Amino acid sequence: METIRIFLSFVGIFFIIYLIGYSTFLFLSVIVGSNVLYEKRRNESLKNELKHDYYVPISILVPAYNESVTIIETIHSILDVEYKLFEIIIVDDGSSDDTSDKLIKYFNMHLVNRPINKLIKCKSEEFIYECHDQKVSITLIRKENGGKADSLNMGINASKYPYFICMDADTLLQYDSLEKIANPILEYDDVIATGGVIGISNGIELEHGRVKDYKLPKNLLASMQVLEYDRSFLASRLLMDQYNGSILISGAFGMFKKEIVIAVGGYDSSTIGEDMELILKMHVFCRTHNIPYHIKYSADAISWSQAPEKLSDLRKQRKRWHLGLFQSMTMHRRVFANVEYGAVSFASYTYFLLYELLSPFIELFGILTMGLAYVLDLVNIPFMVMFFLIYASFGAILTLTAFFTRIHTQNYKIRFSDVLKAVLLCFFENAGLRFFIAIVRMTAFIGYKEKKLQWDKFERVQTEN
Amino acid sequence: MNIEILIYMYALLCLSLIGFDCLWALLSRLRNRRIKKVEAEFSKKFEDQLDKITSVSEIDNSQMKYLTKKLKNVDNLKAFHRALEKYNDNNRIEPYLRQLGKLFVLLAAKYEKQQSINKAYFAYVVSQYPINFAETAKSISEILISYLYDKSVYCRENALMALYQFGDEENILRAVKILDNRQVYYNSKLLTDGLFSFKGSHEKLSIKLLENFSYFHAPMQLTIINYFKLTNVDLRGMMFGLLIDKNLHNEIKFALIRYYGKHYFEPAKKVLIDYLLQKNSEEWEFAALSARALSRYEERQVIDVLKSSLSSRNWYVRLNAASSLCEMNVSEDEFLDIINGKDRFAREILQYTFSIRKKNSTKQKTRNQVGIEVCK
Repeated sequence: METIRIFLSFVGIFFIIYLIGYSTFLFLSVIVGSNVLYEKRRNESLKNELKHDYYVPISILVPAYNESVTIIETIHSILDVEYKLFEIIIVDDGSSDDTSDKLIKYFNMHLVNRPINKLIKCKSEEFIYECHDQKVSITLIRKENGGKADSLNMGINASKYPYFICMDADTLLQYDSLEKIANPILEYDDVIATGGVIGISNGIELEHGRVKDYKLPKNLLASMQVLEYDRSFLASRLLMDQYNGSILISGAFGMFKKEIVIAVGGYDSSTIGEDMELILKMHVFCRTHNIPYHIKYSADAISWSQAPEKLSDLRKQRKRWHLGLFQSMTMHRRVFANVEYGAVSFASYTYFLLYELLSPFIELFGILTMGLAYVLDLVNIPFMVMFFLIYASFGAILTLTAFFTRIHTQNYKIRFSDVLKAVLLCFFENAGLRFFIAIVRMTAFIGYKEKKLQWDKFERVQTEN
Repeated sequence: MNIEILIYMYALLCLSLIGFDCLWALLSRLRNRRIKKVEAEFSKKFEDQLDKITSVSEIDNSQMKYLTKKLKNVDNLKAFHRALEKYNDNNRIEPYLRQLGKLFVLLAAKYEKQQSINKAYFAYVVSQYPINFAETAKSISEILISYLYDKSVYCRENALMALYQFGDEENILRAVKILDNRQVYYNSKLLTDGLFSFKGSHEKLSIKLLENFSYFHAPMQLTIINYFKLTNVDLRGMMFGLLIDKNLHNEIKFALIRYYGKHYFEPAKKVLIDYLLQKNSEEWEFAALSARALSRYEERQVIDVLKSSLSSRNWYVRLNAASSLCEMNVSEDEFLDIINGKDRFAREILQYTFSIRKKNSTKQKTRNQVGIEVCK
């Protein structure tokens, strides 16, 4: 009994330290994130900015698999972007629906016999169509099914510009998305990648690349994800950006220097977390070869993506993200506790390891030990409840801070009803949604060996644009 | 008990955060309201002064004192600028702006001592109202040049933008030398396009930059060549010596190849052909860029060289050679030997580029038929 008591004391101390660590990180990231955004706004209002008609020519790569519902809208949103020099390359990864047919017909594309310089290995193309009637050239490459990473590699091979953007086939861009994501290149001569912000498109109305109406989605699950995205995409990534420690640029919207991506071998088809794997690979490559570099995060480069509105779809998405995280981190485990990688190792990698990858197991361990303590009547229940409430409130307030900072700095007009909704939902998000996601992550590895490259998609809907 | 203290600390932190958020939102609103109020004040004063200026041609002393005192605060400067911007009647505002020359000199000195973000904004305001008043332009330019030593890239950029507006090539040369000597990173494209926006004589500026070319480091040399490429100033003869200079950095040579790809110069043809025909695979970029540059040199010898380059082992050389041939008035019959030949790579790239040429010319014919002016 005494042994168990001591064991539970140590477990208690461990969790206190663990939770303080997370709370501190969260607190720092929200404070730093908010500060960065406000400083940016102040800089802009006092014309402390570098503006240009265009910065670098960009190839926009859109890998698509069975995206006939959203693909035309996505391409339209790209065409609405105000940027002088870019091209669009859509890679149809052997869709079983009419993704290609829709594009060919809608944009009046014509078949070409275009040779592609395959600097990165990828599956073969079946046909290539082009359209030069639009604002920019649009290329459609249909290829053998090989996964998102393989499609992106095909897109890189076909691209003609020194920088490329990867985006999802349901992502919508704003009129200034390209300008903002390319902006860091003006300030640093060694930018090899820039990440953008992913907003949730479920509640917004875009007109010619401009947000006409901003509101929280009607669906409560999607609304909670808005809050979650603001806390994690905005806050933690802005913090990591301060010390060149970003190890994740979302595959839904990110810009890369082609030369470096080719040098590291492109996207890895053996993982479903190809976005994170690429960034880790780029860190490793540049540090190993002593190449000065920056991986930046542009908080103004906004794109909009659909969030799942059903729990089953959310489960598929988060399971994929967690497996991708696991694959990427294990492939590059040399980064862990390695002085060669500095803050990337000791801050970013460690954070993702402890608070993202291992957190479901740590939390499960916590629940089990709590159960044991309860059975042995060693739990101070009032204290436990109070701790949980304070902890949840702390998380909720930080979430709200991140949410309102973004609303304010982006000058969105938000309804009072949405303010109330955000305040109420943030508690459910912290207390409810996070537990659901923790359970999804805990069970993500069930059936891993058979399905480790499976990309379970969720249902797309047509948006009001 | 110790653990409970921790919990109370977190609770206090939560309350502080809420309080801070609310306070911040309130202060932001109050600040915006104040700026709007000051803006309205300035608008009224403009109206009063504009009426006086048309009759006595000078802003009165009390107004100058008022503005000097007010505008050293950056928020007031912002309101002032916004009030000025609202004036659509440019004829009325012009005499007023010319009178403000002395004010800008005083303000430039005051802002020099302030933080970078404020200095940058002041430089921006100056760039919006180029003052064609020799004496004050010279004084303000001196202070703007001192801004180029600031650590903030925004401050340097806005100061440059203002200097471009003044149209003094000597000051631009000094500015370029300062940036080059300081070896701070400056985006080449930003600088190139900034030079292109220079309001003075591009010819005089180009000659000054070329005279000092050898003193600059490679990144600045690259920027300057790209600037020359944009202007219509004829420097082909003067720059030819650089094209044949083997000691230059490779990136400079590439920029020169691109320059002569845009500006036809007969003596450059041989140099470009030599680059294209060189066999060193490690210097493929010279061949690839030359293949593209030769599109301007439409004659038999060049066509033959480009044709032979279609069999190059390097993808980019083949692509650029095909693109250049495509731009020339060469008929497809000329290439029957390649199209029917064994070199699959040459055939593919040629067929692809010609198919694009056909599509573009069909599009042009259609436009001509419906009477739309074709802009090449």
